[in-house]
Amino acid sequence: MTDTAAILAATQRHGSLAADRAYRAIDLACAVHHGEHRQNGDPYIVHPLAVASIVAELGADPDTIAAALLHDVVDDADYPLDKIRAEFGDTVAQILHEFVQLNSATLDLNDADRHINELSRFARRAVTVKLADRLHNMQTISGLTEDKQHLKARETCQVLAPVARAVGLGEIAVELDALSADTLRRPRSARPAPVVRPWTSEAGLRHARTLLHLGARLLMPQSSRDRWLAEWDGEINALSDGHERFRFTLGLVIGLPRMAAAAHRSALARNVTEDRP
Amino acid sequence: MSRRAGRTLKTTYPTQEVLRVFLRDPRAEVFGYEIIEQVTSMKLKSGSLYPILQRLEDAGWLTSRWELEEYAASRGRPPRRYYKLTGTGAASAPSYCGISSDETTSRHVVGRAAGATS
Repeated sequence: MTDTAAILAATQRHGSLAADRAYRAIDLACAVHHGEHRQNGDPYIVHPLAVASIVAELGADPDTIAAALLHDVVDDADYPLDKIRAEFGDTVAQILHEFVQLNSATLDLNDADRHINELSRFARRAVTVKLADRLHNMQTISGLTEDKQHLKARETCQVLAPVARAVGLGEIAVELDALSADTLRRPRSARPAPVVRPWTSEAGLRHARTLLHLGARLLMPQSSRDRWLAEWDGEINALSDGHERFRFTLGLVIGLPRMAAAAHRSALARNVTEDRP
Repeated sequence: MSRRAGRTLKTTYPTQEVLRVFLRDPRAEVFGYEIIEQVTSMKLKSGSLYPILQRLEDAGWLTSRWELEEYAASRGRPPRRYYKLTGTGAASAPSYCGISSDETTSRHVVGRAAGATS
């Protein structure tokens, strides 16, 4: 919830075009990750939103924020970089190109120093996305098996935290160190079993709903925005099945640009302010 | 009003499917999620439905109203918005959907005989 707000607020400071682009990036990420979920049960979209919110908090520029939103769209879902370039510009495509490269390296922990050097030499913006990605993965590590948790924690403290320090992101380094130490310190038997939540968790619906409202505020004409939001809230509230609620809401989010286009055309043609009886 | 009603409506399959739901009983009022449920020939997404409803309202084929607040409150939820065909919509929709007018006229009559009032 706060993630989306932080992203849009951070980009809005750079003008409405930047905010619009962030919204389009959220929209594309929603569409591409639709139906996917993370190992801890959350809808997948929670992850790119959190990563983008971390880079926004670090004061990153709108290109880096957009790249953070799209990092798994390109890296995991193989969305073509050419299309990213056409839709989001050269800089975002370049950051993502580097991100994919630096992310493809398998880390050999016997050779940590070499990896630290290599990774630190990538462009800072791509490294920032990678570190934010790892930070959120460490924050939500309980979804992984114990073995994987251990491996990720060791990679984090031996390679990624030093990289964060090398590129001047000390606060990320501190958090990465603390999170990995936490995982490594816990005796294996005492570590709680991963909690698998249904992907239609309340958190998922809340995220989708916040996106819907923020998106509508950005894209819909003022004259009809409240009417539609009230109508959609009425429908969402009347649905009893959590899964169906989430799907319905996410469908609205994905359809927002088209809805906004129809509503703008309608407002232009009617030229009246409010039609709610 | 005439400007709105005069706007042309592009023929698309999802729009035809939405109108078919209304044509089952041209006097009935339906709400958004009900339409999604009743379109069975395709997976109509919520994000596709509402732009269609907006265009149909703009074309003057549909009209809509809010559900009575007291009724919704008695069910513990916010009011829904109900849609219904206008005269223009009822007259134009069959040919738009490629349905012969005989077919819908008979349904219309059945709808009235069943005691539908407005």
